[in-house]
Amino acid sequence: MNKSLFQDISSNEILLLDGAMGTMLQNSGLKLGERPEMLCLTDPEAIEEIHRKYIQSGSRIIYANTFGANARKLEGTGYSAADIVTAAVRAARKAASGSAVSAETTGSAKAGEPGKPEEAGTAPLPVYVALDIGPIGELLEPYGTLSFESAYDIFREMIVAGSQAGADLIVFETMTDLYEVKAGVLAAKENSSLPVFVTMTFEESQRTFTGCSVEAMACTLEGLGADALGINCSLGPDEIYPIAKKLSECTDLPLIVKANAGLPDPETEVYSITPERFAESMKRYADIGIKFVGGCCGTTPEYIARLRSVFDGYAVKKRNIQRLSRVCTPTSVVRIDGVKVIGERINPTGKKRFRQALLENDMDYIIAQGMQQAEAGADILDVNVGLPEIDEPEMMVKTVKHLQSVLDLPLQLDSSDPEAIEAGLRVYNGKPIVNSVNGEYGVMERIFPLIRKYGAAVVGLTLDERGIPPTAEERFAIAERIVKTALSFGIRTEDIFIDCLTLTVSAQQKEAAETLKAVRMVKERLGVHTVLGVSNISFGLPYRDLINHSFLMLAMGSGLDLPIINPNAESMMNAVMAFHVLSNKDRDSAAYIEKFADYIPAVSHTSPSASASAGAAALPENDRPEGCRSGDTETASYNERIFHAIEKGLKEEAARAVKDLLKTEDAMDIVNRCLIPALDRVGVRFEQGILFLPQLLNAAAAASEAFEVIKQKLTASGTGGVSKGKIVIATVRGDIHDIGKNIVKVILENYGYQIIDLGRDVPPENIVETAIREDVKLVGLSALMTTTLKSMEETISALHASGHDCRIMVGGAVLTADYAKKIGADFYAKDAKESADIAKKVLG
Amino acid sequence: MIKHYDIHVDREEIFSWVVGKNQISHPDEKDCSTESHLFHETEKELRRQIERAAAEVESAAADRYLYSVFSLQRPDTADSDAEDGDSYSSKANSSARDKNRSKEESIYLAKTSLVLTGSDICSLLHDCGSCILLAVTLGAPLDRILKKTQISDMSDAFLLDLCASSAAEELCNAVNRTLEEEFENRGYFLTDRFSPGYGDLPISLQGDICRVLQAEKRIGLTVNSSDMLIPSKSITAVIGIADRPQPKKISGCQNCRMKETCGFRKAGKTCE
Repeated sequence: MNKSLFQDISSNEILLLDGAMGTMLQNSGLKLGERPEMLCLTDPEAIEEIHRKYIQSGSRIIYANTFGANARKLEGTGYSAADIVTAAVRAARKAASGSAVSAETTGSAKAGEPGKPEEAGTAPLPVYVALDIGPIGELLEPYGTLSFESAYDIFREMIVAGSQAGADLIVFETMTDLYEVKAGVLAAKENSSLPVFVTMTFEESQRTFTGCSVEAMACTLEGLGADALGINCSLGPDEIYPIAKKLSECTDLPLIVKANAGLPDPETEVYSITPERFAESMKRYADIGIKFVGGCCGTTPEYIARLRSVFDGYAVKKRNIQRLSRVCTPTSVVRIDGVKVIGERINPTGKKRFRQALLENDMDYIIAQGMQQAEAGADILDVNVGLPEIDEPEMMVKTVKHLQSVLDLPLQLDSSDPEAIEAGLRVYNGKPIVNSVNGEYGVMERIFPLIRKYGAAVVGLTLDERGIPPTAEERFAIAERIVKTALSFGIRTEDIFIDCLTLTVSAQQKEAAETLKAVRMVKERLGVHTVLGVSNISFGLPYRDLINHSFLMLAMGSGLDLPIINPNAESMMNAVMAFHVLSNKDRDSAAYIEKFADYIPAVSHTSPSASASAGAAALPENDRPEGCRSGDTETASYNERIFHAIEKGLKEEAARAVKDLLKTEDAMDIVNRCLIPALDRVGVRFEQGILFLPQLLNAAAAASEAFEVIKQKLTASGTGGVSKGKIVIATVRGDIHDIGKNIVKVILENYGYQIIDLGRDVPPENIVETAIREDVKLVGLSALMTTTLKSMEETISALHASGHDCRIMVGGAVLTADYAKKIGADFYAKDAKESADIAKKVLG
Repeated sequence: MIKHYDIHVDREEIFSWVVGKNQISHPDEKDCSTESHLFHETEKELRRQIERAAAEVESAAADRYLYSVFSLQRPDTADSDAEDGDSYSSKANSSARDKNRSKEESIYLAKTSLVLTGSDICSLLHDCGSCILLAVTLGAPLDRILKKTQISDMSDAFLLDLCASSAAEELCNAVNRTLEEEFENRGYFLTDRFSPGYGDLPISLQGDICRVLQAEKRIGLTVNSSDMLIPSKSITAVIGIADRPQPKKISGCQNCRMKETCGFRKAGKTCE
């Protein structure tokens, strides 16, 4: 790093940034919609001149004209990002060099001196050039279609060119998507040694457009090693102030603010705040410890000059930040300031159905496990997808991305494979926990650098190469070693969690008390948070729930903060609620009362085993009106019960009815004699217009619960699946509308077909390759836009050209039967029901 | 200060989309057959389900919008007039004329790099000296809810998607109405709203409009590499500003936002 820049960043002198580049260019005739970056090639003198004006106004860091100089935005211009970045940095350097030369004699003496910014007339201070990086211009997955990895590559190209051209630092600004920022910061850290600044754009709600909160931004980017954080664009100084204040309380990194000059007039594009008012309003930012101050849209050198006079003589105010243990996703921060529940269900250990889902790449099943736990109140989800038969790093990436596309709970990446851990850390959006290291130096030396680099929290197990020590004292000694080593790797105390290990009480009865004692010692003496996998305690005993729940209570009493449990077990979640009352955490028992105010104890006696199995099978409550579930359904034949449950979309009832029927009937018989006919009847009523698509889908969901019971039975007995044949479905390349395809998927699955869902925006070659590899006889393609029908046609041609023997059905709003025939499809499905009819025709 | 709008979903509209207009009055309330009973029970449940979906969209959707006014510039009209005059008298010239026409049928927006192309937009803006570019989006967090619901409950997801599309359209209408009033007070009249993808206005203009409006920076609206708006529940549009009243003529399936999901069209009918 440039030494004088380093000193300037860490000094307590307020440094002026520049103002807008775009505004200046528009004022001199740049058309809206044109790429301002192109001017670096066509008119570098004009750019240089703008930089020079800002330097004359007092800017110490100028942003090169590279905001949108990325490969995606430059597509079609004939220039690469490297071309533009190089020219832009060169222009900025040229403007800065006059000052920099003379500064070399005075700069080092000046820098670090508190409260004395540059005065007119003295020798100029060094001016630094920032490689300015704005958003790519296309939203990343899961909102958009651009992958995290592609975003990284796009940023890397800019960063490599920028560093080579002589930029002093890298600034990411106007960012709204934390995932995009993470790709950028990683690219910066891995491809340069320059300081990295990040400013994001918030709305008055204190969230970015994609929902990222100020605290999540601070929590994640501190961890990733950003050198300064702040806010720019979108709002004026008055509106940004409360947001900046919040940020100043979340991080001790230097604070940056570049506000807009108010809002533009829609007809004249003139901004609403004058330089005087702007500077006056920025003044109060000194109170929250601002370090870097400049302007964004609508500001000009005049604004910067005003800022200089306002901040003249001010030193950066020191902030005292309370360090907290927290993990996060962009939208949700979990502070470990009481007991927080880590859900244990995403784990194949001892779960045949989950193993099968991993082997079959059944992401929906895995995500459903996550969603259930989230609904049950888990705060964090443990993710373990290790199976010897699969590529664990790849599965970790896939699972993390899928879970994060629908859930906002932080994740705990659980693996013994360092590669899987790193793969997960890389693509995780936010700050996760890693589970785990132990007291072996070899393990710590492999994992701690990853924790440090990606800014995660980490769980340390109190075992080492000699195994799990029996006594609390020995486990404490390992914990101490882990904490000490972690600190030496630069990991902060608040990011270290210790797991004192639960042993099975039926086998090692004495040691339950040792575990509890060790938890207390670690908590009290090392001052770190504690984790325990609670459910291990009860293996081999009847009424496991009782033991689990009792042990959980004792452990929380001993100082357990992060129990890893099954959140679907109500008694466990209730124990946590009760503990929060008893430990004076749930003030006035407010949360407890809210949950249990209407609690009526169950009167009927249920046997322990019955209630335990009900707990394990607990699914999210179906909150639909249950219609007429009267006593007579119990006496009615099982068939009628299943018909009724499916038709009314009663998920739990459908599952229960099938469970009962399985006691006497063969699984495949139930599928063929009950489930399929029930679905057919619903299908007929749909065609008659008596039931509508929402009901058809509700029925499908109920049938799906019923199928799940059958699937579990078949998996347990090892007789294979229910599959009546494989079908590949995909929304074609270029099209992101996938609701139609997903509706078809739900319906087809219920007829017992195994669906290989390739997702949306799928290239033809991907579809052909899968059809051949999986030997699929029926391919379903969906397109919703006239513009993407072309991709559908290409996909059909590619399938035909491959020579693979399969039939193709197509569907989508803009399609017609005639058009389907014209582009070479075998079938046109006008709706989801018809796709099932076609599947029956082709696959039986 | 930016005016805020309440996101609103028209429940009745959603209900009739799902059920189809021809179904609403049938079967007879007094008909006591099983089918009729089932239908009425279904209707009640469906309305409850729609209510839940509508409420969720209303609470999760943002009301982000952005517009700007631009003067219009037409390519040199002298030549094209002559060409048109010729073409009336000469059929042999027609293919050459078509070629020229497609080149001429474009309008430039002053101080931007944007060119609107196609005969539809040109006829819409015929009387206009300037136009408004408008972009609205319900925001990315709503997309996530739509996606999540597709995993947890497809039935709800289907209705949420309909409600969200309807809400985006409603937001656009609401902003449009405000603009209409504002301009009328100043003695101007607005044309119908026209979006890329309508008629022969290319869908690729969605990206151009976003760029000119700086929609990414201002409301978080982007396009992907195949010109689709992301977040998905978003609309871009052009509205002409004229000094005389404008005919309201845009209707029919080709100009309808629902054409992609419309149940009537699937059944070979229209809602007209």
